[in-house]
Amino acid sequence: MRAYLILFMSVIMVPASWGQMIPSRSENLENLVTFGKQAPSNWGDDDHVQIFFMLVPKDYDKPVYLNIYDPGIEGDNDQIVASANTKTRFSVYSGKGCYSNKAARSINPTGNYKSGNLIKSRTFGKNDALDKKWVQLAMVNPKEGEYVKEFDGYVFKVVCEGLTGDDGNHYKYFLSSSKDNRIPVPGGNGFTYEYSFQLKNKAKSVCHIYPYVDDKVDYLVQHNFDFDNDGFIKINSVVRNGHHQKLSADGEWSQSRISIKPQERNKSIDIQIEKKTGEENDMVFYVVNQYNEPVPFFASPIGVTKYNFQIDVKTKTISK
Amino acid sequence: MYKVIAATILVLLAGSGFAQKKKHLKKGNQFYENHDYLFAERYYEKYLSGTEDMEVTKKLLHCYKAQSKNDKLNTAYKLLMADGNQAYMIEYAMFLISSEKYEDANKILDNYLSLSSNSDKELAQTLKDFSSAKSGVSNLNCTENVESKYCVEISAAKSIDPENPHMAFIWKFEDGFTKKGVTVKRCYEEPGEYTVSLSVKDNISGLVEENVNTKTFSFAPSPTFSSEDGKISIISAGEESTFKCDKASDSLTYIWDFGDHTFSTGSEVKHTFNQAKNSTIKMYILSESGELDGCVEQNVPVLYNFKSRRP
Repeated sequence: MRAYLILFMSVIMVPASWGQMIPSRSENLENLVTFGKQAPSNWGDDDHVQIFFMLVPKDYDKPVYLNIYDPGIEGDNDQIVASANTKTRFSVYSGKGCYSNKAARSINPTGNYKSGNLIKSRTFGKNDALDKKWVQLAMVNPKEGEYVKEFDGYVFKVVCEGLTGDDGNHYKYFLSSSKDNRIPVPGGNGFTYEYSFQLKNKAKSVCHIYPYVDDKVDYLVQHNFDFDNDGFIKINSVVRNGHHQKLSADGEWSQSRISIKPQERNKSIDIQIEKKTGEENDMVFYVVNQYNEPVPFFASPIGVTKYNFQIDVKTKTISK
Repeated sequence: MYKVIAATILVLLAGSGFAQKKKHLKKGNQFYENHDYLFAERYYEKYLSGTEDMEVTKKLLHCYKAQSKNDKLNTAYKLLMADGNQAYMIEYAMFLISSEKYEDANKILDNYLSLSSNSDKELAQTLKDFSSAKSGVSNLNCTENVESKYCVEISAAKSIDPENPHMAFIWKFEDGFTKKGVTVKRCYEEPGEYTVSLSVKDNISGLVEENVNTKTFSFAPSPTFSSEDGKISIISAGEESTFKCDKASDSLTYIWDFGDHTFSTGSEVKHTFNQAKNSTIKMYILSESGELDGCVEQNVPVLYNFKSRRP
């Protein structure tokens, strides 16, 4: 499996520049989202914490820079409930255990999910100056990350916590190879095990998230939260064309099972979220395998996820 | 004494048999020269009864050909093959192809191609490709040698996900023309290159995914043929006529079947009909990949040639 993953990540992955912004362009999501601790879950965040892992290829030895777009609570990019009273903390962890500690990869932020060495932590609240701006949170030496053999690269972790307040903080990450500009790290990627995001505020828009299916997966169970029944959720892959899944209502979880076909292993599948309305909508997604283990969503899908549409043509010349 | 008499009688009989055969050969040759192949055949057959003479066998073969006596032709060719007569190998292969004995024809052609002294390797190879292609096609109907229209059948049958019956297929052609369905048909007036793109609609959500795949297809120029002046003109027996494919393509191979067990290859060929009768000329088109792309046919009357007084 490892060999496949490395191959796909280094060769077949969509252009690197797409994957270094999280959410990526191919995902077509509006933002990541973390709500303040006092916000009810039916605003679209079940646990007020979002954990993301940044992956840097093994051979990349220059510093990388983690940037955040609009880290504070201000303006129309965020979900301000009454007054912008929310504080959000972004913390970067590296070193042994930052990835391998099971709590870091669980669905719920319980136990030692902040494992590893804390490199940098910064709390953002109401701040006009940072509205819709990129802010550099931390510079990281990739080798200080935890080496993960399965991905053949170094991983560090970013934990976003909604500390206080009831607003929704909408933000993005960018893993950059440049201190002053946002230039992708070649072969870099970002992944999470529970995804909290804002869909596009546009009717009929289609967003994509890409759970990775390794060679041990027999079936997956998708869990979606607070979709408000606002459209359709479908699965696409090289051998699957738009299989509809169960949808969640406001503040509720819903789940459905997906049997995996051999051709779908060792690559990402494409969960398409098709929106019916133009209403703002934040939601949560996670997927587990048959052992109830969460599987990672990569911002840049791994391998080919498109359904293979074949066209057969027969030509004939006939007398008039 | 009796022995001597008996021997004398035998010598006389043998002598008379030899004289008789000589007479048959002479007569046969006379008729052959006058193109009276029916009588020539009779005398040659008598002459060859119990005698091996390859030169006369070749003439007899010609008599059979002129009269389209296929069974006898096959036997004559076999005799020439048994004698190792390379010059007739291609001709025999043509005969076998026209008799739809493709496997036998390929054996002869393989044999010919393996010879170091083969002089017409290209023709042999083309005939072999043609024979192989034709053996894989049953009931090939040739179109008449008239203007054609160009039709295409496009199918997304292999794109159907059996677990999701709610998808509709929409085809958009290069000129904006749209059709719906798993399989659609369209005809064009002109040959050329055309493109179709496939979009799919989710009948549950109503979402249309545009251009999930595109395909380009083309039609070779109209496969009609004519003689030199642009149409099939008067063809006389014993006179060489030229036939050419109108709007020929360099990437295609043209094989001509003149209906008299002879084939020619090329976009422009020459042929002499030996007999005055109604003949059917077929022009087969072989694609670059060796597949039979089409066939065009034309019935032509081969007229008695008063000029040369040949039938």
